[in-house]
Amino acid sequence: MDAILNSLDASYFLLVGLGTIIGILFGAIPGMTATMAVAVCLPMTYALDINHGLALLLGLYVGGISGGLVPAILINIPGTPSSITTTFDGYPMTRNGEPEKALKIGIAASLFGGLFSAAVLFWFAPTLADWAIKFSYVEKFLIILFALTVIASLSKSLLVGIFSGMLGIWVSLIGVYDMRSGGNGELRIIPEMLSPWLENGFSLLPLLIGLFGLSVVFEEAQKGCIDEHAESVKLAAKKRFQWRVFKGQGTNLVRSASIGTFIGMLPGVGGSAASVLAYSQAKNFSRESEKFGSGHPPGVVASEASNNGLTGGALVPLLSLGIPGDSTTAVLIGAFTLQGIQVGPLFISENPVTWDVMMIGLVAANLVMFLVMWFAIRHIAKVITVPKYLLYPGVMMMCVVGAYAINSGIMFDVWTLFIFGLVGFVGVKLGLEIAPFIIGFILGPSAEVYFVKSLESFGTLSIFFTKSPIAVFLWVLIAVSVGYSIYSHRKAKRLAAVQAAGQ
Amino acid sequence: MENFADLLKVQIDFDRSHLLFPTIIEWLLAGLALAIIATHGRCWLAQWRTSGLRARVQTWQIDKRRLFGCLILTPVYFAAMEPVGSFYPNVGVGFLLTSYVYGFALSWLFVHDNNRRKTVLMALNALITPTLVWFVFAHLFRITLP
Repeated sequence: MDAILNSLDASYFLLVGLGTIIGILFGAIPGMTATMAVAVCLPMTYALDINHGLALLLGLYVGGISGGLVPAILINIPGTPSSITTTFDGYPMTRNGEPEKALKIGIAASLFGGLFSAAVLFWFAPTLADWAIKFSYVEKFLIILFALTVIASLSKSLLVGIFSGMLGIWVSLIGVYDMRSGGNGELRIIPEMLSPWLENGFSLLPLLIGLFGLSVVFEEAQKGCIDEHAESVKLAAKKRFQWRVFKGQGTNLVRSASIGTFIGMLPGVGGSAASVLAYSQAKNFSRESEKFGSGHPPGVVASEASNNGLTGGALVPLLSLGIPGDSTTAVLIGAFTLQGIQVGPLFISENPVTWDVMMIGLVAANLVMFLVMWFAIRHIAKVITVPKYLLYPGVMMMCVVGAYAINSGIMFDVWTLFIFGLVGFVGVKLGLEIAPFIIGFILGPSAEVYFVKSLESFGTLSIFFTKSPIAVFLWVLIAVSVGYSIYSHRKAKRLAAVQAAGQ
Repeated sequence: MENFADLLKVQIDFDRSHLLFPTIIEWLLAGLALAIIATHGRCWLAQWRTSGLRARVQTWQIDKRRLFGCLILTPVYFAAMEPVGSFYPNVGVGFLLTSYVYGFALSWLFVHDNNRRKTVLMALNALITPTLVWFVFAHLFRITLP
């Protein structure tokens, strides 16, 4: 208890507040996401201990996800991908003269979603971790395989999704087979002449910052860096917000937050999937479904409760299995690695103080998000008018600091940033799926160790099917994941063909 | 049955164990690439026939000046950092000085309908942002910068 209280000093809460405010600003600016906020602000944690660093990062995460509702409601552009469905009813409310009401509905729903998912995380992650502690290398390998099939199955094309994940694994294997993990220390994939730079492969953080920071700037440069906003934002209100708008919304709130939390738990699945599912469910179950899309408050409630539900949900597989729930938590893995902490089944039992402090940070970040956005929404709304030509130079500089400082001054890490900025920019145009690629890159080295060590220990491939009932259960999950994916892709194809024939 | 079990047996030579997993992944990548070509190839070919490369690139709406300007400026900025920093090593001067220039150049590249007010804003931003970043990270946090 003393250790927890020692960590919870004034600076801890200041960092939570600072992170949340910066996150909200990032989320509120179209084109800048929560993932980018965490990636770009990572260097700020280099000088902090794990608890204080996490305070800042959790604030950025919660703030970044929540801030996305501001441009979604005011200018019909989702600030983050997960606020796409907030535009459906939020923007029509703004056009009906209710921008402040729409924003406050979104903020309150976000708070509920965030706290709901934090509670689920608090109860569920330790249970899952206790279960996962019993896993041998075989089950651990199958968990990774399952995670990759889930990510791939939610990609636009199953084959391209799996290909992207495999490519991520392949890139992660560049360099020597690490002796600390029982490898033989031999170089592979690249020629000997590249070993001065790539002996230990590409560093995770420059790669992530390149994919989520630089590639966004390149993308904006390609589009001409046009600011798609009005010169000024006014929150003139015909109708003011009243709490009674939430009357009868209890089921919608709980259902949407649950959907967000559950989708968040699935590895690598982005926020837009959660908010689209929650929105469509709210519409299907509503008696006034025809009102959705024309400025109906329950639409905003569903979207925002679900996308903030993601925050706690995505941390469940990260903290209990070591598998990131989304791209933002993938960046958080980098922060843990930086502090020498390995996330996985042993994390909670070996770091009880960090776990408790993290939970307090997550709740505090949600409360700060609510207070800041509720009382300062008029000022925050102005951030969407800051022009990109002033923002992006600062973003690039932060990216450089983050990459250069990660290994205490290696210039190759800055070039890694550039290489993966280009990979992200060009790769997406060629159809590469970034989420499976990242998860593949993060899980690749572990997958190799678990696979090779299982074979070295048992000497037969059949062990992956016969090791334990859990292994069989995991194969069933993998088969269901692939089967569902094939079914849903075929269904979507048939639907598209029917629509094309009807035109 | 015994023959089938024998087929699944694997003997791993420790000296070559570094190649096992990468080789499997490479074979899977090749297989997946072929499968993608087999399933999507016909569609790509049809698209290629109906609209050539030039027409397809045009649909991406590339702002050539801003994109290629950014793609040239950024590596030049990265490459210049260390040589400039070598004049006063370990204090982050390379980052600071090159960021002043890069910050202004990138803003100038990205801005639309430039005027005097915007130029002053860009110049102030190019001075304040790198100085602030340098002060916070190199001085307060004592983080190594080029």
